[in-house]
Amino acid sequence: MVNFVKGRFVQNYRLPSGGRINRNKVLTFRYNNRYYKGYEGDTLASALLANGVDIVGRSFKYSRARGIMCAGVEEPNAIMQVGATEATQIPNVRATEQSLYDGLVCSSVKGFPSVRFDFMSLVGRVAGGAMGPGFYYKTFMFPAFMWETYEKFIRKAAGLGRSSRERDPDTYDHMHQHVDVMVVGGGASGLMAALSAARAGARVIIADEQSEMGGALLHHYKEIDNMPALDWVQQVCDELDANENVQRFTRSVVTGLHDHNFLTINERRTHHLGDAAPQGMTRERIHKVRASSVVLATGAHERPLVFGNNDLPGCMQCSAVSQYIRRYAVMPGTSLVVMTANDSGYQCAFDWFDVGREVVAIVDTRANPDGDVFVQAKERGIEVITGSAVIEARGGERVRKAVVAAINDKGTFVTGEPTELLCDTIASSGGWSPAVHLSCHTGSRPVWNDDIFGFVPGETPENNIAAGRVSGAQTLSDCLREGIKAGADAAASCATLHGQASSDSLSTPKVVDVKQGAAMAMYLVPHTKTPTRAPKQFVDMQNDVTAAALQVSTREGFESIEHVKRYTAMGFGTDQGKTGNVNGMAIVAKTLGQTIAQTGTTVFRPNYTPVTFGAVAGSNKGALFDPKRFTPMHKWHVEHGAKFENVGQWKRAWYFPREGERMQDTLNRECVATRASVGILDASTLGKIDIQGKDAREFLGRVYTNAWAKLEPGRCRYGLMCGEDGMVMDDGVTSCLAENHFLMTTTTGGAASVLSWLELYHQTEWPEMDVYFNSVTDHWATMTISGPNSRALLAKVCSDIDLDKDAFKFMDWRAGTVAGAPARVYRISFTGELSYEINVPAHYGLHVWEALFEHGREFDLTPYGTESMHVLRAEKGFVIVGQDTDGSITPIDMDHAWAVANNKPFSYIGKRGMAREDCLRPNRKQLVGLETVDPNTVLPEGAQAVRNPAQSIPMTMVGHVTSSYYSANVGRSIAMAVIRDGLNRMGESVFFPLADGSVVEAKICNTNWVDPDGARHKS
Amino acid sequence: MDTVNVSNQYATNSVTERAEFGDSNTPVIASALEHANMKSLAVKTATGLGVTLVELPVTGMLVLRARDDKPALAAALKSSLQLDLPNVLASNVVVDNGKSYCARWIAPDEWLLSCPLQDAFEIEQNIRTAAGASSIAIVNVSGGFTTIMLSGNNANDVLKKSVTYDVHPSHFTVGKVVNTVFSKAQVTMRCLDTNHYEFIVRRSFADYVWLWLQVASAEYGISIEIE
Repeated sequence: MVNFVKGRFVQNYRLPSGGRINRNKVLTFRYNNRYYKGYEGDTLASALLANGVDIVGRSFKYSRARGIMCAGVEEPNAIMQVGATEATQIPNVRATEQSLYDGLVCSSVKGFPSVRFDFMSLVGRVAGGAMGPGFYYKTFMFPAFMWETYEKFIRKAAGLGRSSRERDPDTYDHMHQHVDVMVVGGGASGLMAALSAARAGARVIIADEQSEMGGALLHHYKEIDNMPALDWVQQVCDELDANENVQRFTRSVVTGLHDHNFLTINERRTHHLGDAAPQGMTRERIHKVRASSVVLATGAHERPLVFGNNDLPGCMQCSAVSQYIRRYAVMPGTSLVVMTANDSGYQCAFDWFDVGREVVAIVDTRANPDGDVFVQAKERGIEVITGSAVIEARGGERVRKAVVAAINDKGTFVTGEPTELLCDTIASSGGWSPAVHLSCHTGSRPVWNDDIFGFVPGETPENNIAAGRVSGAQTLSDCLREGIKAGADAAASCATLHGQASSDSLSTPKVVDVKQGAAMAMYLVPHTKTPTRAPKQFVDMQNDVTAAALQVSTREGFESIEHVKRYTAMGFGTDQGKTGNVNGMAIVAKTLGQTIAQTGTTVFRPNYTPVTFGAVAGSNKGALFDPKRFTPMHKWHVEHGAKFENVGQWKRAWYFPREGERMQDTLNRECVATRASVGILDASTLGKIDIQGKDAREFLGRVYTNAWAKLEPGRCRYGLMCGEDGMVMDDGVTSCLAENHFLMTTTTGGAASVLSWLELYHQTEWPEMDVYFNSVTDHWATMTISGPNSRALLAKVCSDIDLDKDAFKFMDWRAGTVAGAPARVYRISFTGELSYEINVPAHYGLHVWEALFEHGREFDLTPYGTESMHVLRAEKGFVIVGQDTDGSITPIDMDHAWAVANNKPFSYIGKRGMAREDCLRPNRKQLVGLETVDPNTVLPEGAQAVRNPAQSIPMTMVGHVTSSYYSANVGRSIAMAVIRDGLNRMGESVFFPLADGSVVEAKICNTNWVDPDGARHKS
Repeated sequence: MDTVNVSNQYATNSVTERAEFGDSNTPVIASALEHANMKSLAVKTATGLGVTLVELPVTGMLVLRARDDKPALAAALKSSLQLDLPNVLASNVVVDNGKSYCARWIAPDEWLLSCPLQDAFEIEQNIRTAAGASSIAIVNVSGGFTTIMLSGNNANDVLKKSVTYDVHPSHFTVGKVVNTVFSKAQVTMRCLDTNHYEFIVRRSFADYVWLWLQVASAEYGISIEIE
C-alpha cells in the first residue's frame, strides 16, 4: 500500500488531487466500531474505499466476503445499518447513495457476528455444495410449525437490517405537485428534456436521485459546447433554476410511475446533513406528482460479466471504477485488469492509467475490436488482450489474480490455455441495461433490443417518452438530441401549458463523438469447467444466486422466469436485481434454448428503491392520523374530567367520574341523579339534515317506514329507515319546522351515510321531486336536559316559550331564546324522563351549556356521558341502531310494527324487502329483554344464547345479547338480546355458556323496565 | 299550499337585546378554535414569518340552493345584496358600508354566502321574499363553520402539502373557489391573492385542520394573528 496523502488520518487510497470533493472539510465517521475520515462530497462507499476497506458484508447464503461493486443505486453488496442512536437507526442503506456527514455511524448489515469472522461461512463452506436453489424452501419449510424458529435465525443470519425499537425523532411529509412535464433523471438527456420543455412553456419538475445533476457526466469528462461537461451542466441548471415554472430536485428518487401519470418522488432532504434532521426540517418528503406528460431519462445500469469468483472484493463495474477515480479521487485498488465486451469498458482503464496507476491489461471478449478506444488504449501503451475473457478471479478475501483464457467468437467456450495476471481489481462490463423500471410500473413490458443487448421501454398507456440511454441511445450527442426532442414533444402533447414560453430555440449542444465499435452479446463467461463444477459464477450478489443455480432450477422444471425468480430468489432483495437480472435471464434463455426476448423479464413493481415507512406515513401520525371531531362543549368536558369514547371520528364524553369513583359508581350516580332530578347530555354529534322543498314531506314518506303526511308544524316524530332489504338502517326524530321544511336527525355514526342515501335516491330515482338536503350537524349544538326537574331548569333560562305541559307537549318543538341565544327546543326523550333537547347555533353552545350549569346548581344538574345514556335508554327498551341491530333485523323483528305504515299511497324503501318470505317466517330472531336469574350478574354483550345448556357442542344457538348493563335505577342487571321467537317466549329461560365454562341463566322479558306507562316523559 | 314555505332558522332575530336573565344570558360567541386561545398565541409568535394564520370571528353563512329556479335566486341575490350568483368555481364579493358579502359556487345547485353574523337572518328573509314562490332553499349554517386565513410567502407551499388540488397561481387563480379534500378533512377554499387563501372548515374538523396547518407550516415559521 502506498500512502498517497500524509497526515494523521490516512486515506491511503485517496488521490492527491481531483474529484468533486471538498478537501477542506474533513468528516469523521464510524464503520463497524472503527473511526475513519473522509471529505465532504464523499459517499459512504467512496470514503470506505479511500480508507482501503475491502469487505463491506457477507453474503446471504454462502457467507462469502463481499466488497463494493458499484457506485450508485444498483449496488447489491454495500448495505449498511446507519444510525448513531437507537432512535435514528435506518436499515439497508446503500453506502453508494449515502452522502458522508460528520459523525456518521454505520455497520454492515450482512455478516453475523462480524464481517471479519463469520461463523455462517463455515456452514457455507461445509454445506455449500448442498445449498442449491430453493435451499430454504426445501430445508426450512418442514415441519411447518418450526418456521417461526427458522425465520428468526435466517433473518438474522441473512443480514437484513433492523429497524429502531424507539420512536423516530424525525418527521416526514408529503407534497402534491402538478406539472405539465415530469422529467425523470438529471443526466444529459433529462437536463435537455427539462430545458426544452421549459422553453416551450411547460411547468416542469426534473428529479434525480444523485446529490447533484449531471448523471454520467459527473464522472465522464467530455466537452460540451466547448466547455467542460460539468460547466455546461451548471449552465443548464442555472437556466432551469431561474425559471419559476421549473422545480429541480436532487437526492430525489422517482420511486413509482402509476396510472394516469401519477408519480411518487422520495426526496431525501436531510440524509446528507446528519443522523437526525435539523430542527424544523422533515427528513424525507414524498412528492405526489400529477403530470400531463412524462419523460423517462432514467439512464442505464452497467451489467457486470458473470465469471468464476466474480464476487471477490475487488471485482467491480467498469463505470464504478471511473466514478470513484473521477468523482471522488479514490483508487479502488492498485493494479487493474479490465474485461469488457464493448467499447465503454475501456474508459475506466484510461481513467486508472491517466492518474498514473498500473493497468495490467484490458481483456476484450471481442476478437477484433474496431472502435476508437482500441486505438486510444494502444496509444497509452495499455496491453489489450482480444478474443479472451477473465474466466475466474482468484484470491482469499480480495482479488489477487485474474485467470485469462481465449474464448471462441460467440463467447460460449474456452479455446485457449488459461493464464494468470496479477492484479487486485477486476473491472468488467457486459453492456448496459436501460433502467426500464418506471415504464414497466405502468404494466408495459420492456422490449428486447438486439442492437444494444438490453431491454428498452415498451409502449406505455400514457405514451411516456423515453430519452437517452434508457431508450438505447449510445452516444452523448444522441442523448442530448433525444432529450431536446423528448422535452419538446412532451410539452407539445399537453392540452394546456402553465408556464412562459421562451422564444429562444434550443439547438443541440456540440459534442465530439468517438467512433464506436460493435459490442458483443456476453453474459456468462465460459469456464474450462461447467457452471456446476466451476468456481461459483454469481449472477445476483445480494441473494447469492449463481449461474449454476439458474441452470439447476430450469432442470427442475422452473421454466417461466417468474418461477425461476421465486425458486432461486434472483432479483429479490433491496437492489431488486438491478445488476444481475438481465444476466440471469440470458442464462435461463440459453439453458432453455430460447432467445432472451422469449424468456422475458420478471415484473417490475414500485418502488424503484426502498422507501422508509416514515416517508410513507408523512405527517399522518399521532393527532393527525385521523381527524378527531369535537363538539362545541368539548372544552368543558375536558375541564370537568370527562373520559371520552370514539364514535366515528367524534370524541364523545363517555362518563364524568368524580374523585375515587370506579366507572360503575359513576354510571350509577349519573343514572340515578337523572331520574331523581335532572341530568344533561351533549348530543351535538347526532346527525342533522335540513330538508326543504314542496316535496319534502312526500320524500320523508318514501325513505321512512312510517307515515309523515299528517305531521304538523311544531310536531316531531320518530322514524325508522330501512335499506331495500327491509332491514333497519337508521333511526331518529324528524321535526316539521314548517309545511315544506323538516329537520331530520340521524344516529351519530349514520349522519354522512344517511345524507348520501337521501341524495342517492333523489338524484337517481326521484329527480322530479322538489327537495333539498343540507347537513346542519355542525351548525347546531345540542344538549338534552332530562329528568323531573328539567322543566324547572329550562324555565330559568328561557322566558319566551310557554313551557306548560299542555302548551308544549311531548313530541312538540318550539323556537325561542335560551340563555339569550336563539334556540329550537324539542320535547323529545331518549331516557323516558321529561326531557328537552335544546339546540342553539354551535358558537353559542358552550355559553348555553355553562348557563344551564349556573342555574342548575340548585337541581344538582348532573352531566352524563354516552355510557349512562346507553343505560338510561335501555331501562326504557329504546334501541340503538348498530348496537341492537346488525343489518339483519327488520322493524317487525325489533317489535316496532307500530312504526311501519303499509297503507301509504306511494311505496317506501324496504317495504318489498320486509315482505320477502324469509322476513315473514316464524322463528326469526326478535329483540327482547333479559333478566339474569342472579340480579348482580351482568351478561357480556355478544354472549350466545342456547335453550339447552346440556347439549353437546356444537350447541344450537338461538341468539345473542346486544346490550347489557347494571341498572342502578332498576336495582339489577338488565339486558337486551335478539332471541329466536323471543316475543312469543316471554318468561322462558335461555342460557349463556361463557368462555370461562360458566353458564348464565336469564329469563326473557319485556324491555320496558322503568315507567312502563310513559307517565314521566309526558308529565 | 301554505304560504310560508319554510320556517325561519331563528324565531327571534336579535340575540343581543335580551338580557333579562342576567349575565349568563348575554350570549357569548365562541369560535371553533376558541380553545386554542389565539390571543395568547398571537402574542407569542413573531410577525412576518413564512406563514401567517388567522381564525376569523364567527361569520354569517347561508347555504343557497336552486335548480330550475336558479334565475330567481340570482335575481333575489342581486336585488337584496347587489351580488351576482357566481359561476362554476367562482366567487363574487361585494363590500357595502364596511360589510363584506361573498358568494361562492359550491355545486351546480349550491352556493355559500358569507355575511356579517348578525345580518344572516335578515338577509335570509330578504332573499326569500325576493325569490317569492320559486323553488329555492336557504339554510343558515353560521354555527357550522369557521374561517381560517392562510397567507405569507410560503402559503402556497403549505397548501401543496395539504390539498391534492393544483394550487399553482396559474390554476388556482384569484377569486377561484374549490371544495376539496384537505388532508383528511373537507374544506371550501378560495384564493384571495397570491399566497393568500381562505379556508371554510366544518366546525368539528377545525381543530384537526388547525393542527395540520401548524405542522405543515412549521418549517417556514408561523405568525399567528388575530382579527
